[in-house]
Amino acid sequence: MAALISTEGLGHLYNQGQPNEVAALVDVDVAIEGGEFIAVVGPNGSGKSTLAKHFNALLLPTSGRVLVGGIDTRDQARMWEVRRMAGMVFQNPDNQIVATTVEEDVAFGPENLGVPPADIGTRIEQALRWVGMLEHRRHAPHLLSGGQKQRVAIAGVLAMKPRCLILDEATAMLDPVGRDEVMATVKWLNREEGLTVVHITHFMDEAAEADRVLVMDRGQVRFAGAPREVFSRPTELRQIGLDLPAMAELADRLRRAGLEVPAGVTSVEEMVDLLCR
Amino acid sequence: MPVTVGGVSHTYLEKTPFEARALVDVSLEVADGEFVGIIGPTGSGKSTLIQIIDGLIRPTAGRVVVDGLDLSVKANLREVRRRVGLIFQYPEHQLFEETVTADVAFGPKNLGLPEGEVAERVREALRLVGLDPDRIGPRSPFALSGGQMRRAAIAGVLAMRPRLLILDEPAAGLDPRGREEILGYVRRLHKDLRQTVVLVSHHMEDVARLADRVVVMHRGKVVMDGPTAEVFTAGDRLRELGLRVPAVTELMLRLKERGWPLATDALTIEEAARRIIAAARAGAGRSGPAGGAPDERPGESPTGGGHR
Repeated sequence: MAALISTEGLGHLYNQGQPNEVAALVDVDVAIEGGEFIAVVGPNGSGKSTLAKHFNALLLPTSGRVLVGGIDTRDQARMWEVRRMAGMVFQNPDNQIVATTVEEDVAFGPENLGVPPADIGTRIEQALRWVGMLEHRRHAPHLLSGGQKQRVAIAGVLAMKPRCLILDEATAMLDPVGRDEVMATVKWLNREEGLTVVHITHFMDEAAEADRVLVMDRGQVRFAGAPREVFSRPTELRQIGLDLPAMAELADRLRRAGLEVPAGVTSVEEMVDLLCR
Repeated sequence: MPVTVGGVSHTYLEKTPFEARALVDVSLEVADGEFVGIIGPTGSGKSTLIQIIDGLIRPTAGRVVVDGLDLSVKANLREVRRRVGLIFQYPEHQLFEETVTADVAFGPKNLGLPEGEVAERVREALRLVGLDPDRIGPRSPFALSGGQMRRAAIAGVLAMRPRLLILDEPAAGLDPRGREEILGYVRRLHKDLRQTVVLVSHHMEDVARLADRVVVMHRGKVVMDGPTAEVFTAGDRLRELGLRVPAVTELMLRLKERGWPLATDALTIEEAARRIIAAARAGAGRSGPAGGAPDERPGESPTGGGHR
């Protein structure tokens, strides 16, 4: 089966040909299957956002290519198909609100796509129900909490019926409750609706909830795998400047002291069970 | 620098249909040299409170005294703002000068200090956040990495030599290394220079390992105020308030429930590891002695992974 999103030898140079040219991505090959929940981690400047912006043609490769649903993102004529397939939610919830009520905000995307008005109503309702914000449909977005605003932003993407949702540090500015709300919403959409999710984050505890983690460093994917595999490589992660989820860090210390704890444990529940068996 | 907040209430847009009560009868003391963490959900009044302490917002009721200066006396405001260094979220958005040195010098220059003293303060402030004054000083702040820009902005506040430093989510948006760096410098300011610090953060792990004391706000009120370990081990209460317990504390509480003889007040991963190792060696959690008993080689416990 062909991947939903794949990159082949993807390179991206900012300011190409100028003295301040920067190689943000170097020869990246990734394949994301439909229905996967992928976390992308890496230090600032490692190319995470640049990579994600190639998934919906916000950026185009300066070398190699990106295929989204079989479409080459460089195909200008089909750019909007790509954008519709992979929708993005950014870090600051306040920069993404365009309308005075929640439902108008969610309607913005499908209206721009030329969806018939009769269908727009249905789409808004479904999108808001999915993110648990239907009862707020007539509220003013600026009065919502951070987590609620981000859920509205997610609904705005869902109303375009995408196949992939890309979160570019969408939880970075939220309080713990807001982060939990967004994570729970996204996990539900992934599990129940089969939505493909690409979640860029600095929080290793969030990355631990994905199916697969991509670790980026200096424009390249250094390694990738299930959270358990990735977080059982503490030395390499620390070298890159990343940390471990608290429980994986603890597991590492316990192992070094001779306790029988497997590497890569990421949840408190698992740790309790391991220690109490 | 002592701060006393006595019975402070604040209502935004009072006597209008948009009236919103942000603080309700808040009383709080910060002693000289203390490191106080303030936690609470979004909208609980944390940022209103710190702006009141800095004299940026005038409370609708109550009294605030900072370093002996009563904030209700208008003539004191200027001096209080000089003594309190308030660092908002994303302070690097306020960098504007052509060089880092000029940017950090902006505040002390405005105080009318002699040039020599300004230069001295700039160098000192940059060093305090780990930026080399000779190497980084002449550069454009906009050519720095995200973490360096954040530190340059913090240096601008430190150059004012504030007696109280208030930081609102200083590590927001930084990667793990940038986060460690910033928090490491804040910790050193407190430990080495006895800087009084108030840290407002959503990151329970950070507050747990840095603060001596934690104040919990909820709907405009101070609902808990005590030593850090005491506050974070009140897991159920924190959850009721819509807050989280740091993962290590959560683990200690759960192990204790399952009969492990542990003190639950571990605030860092190191502490938790030490206690778990000690308890395991004493035989907790298993029928026999666990992995690290003295006569066993590390990692090769005969009790085995599948032993139940």
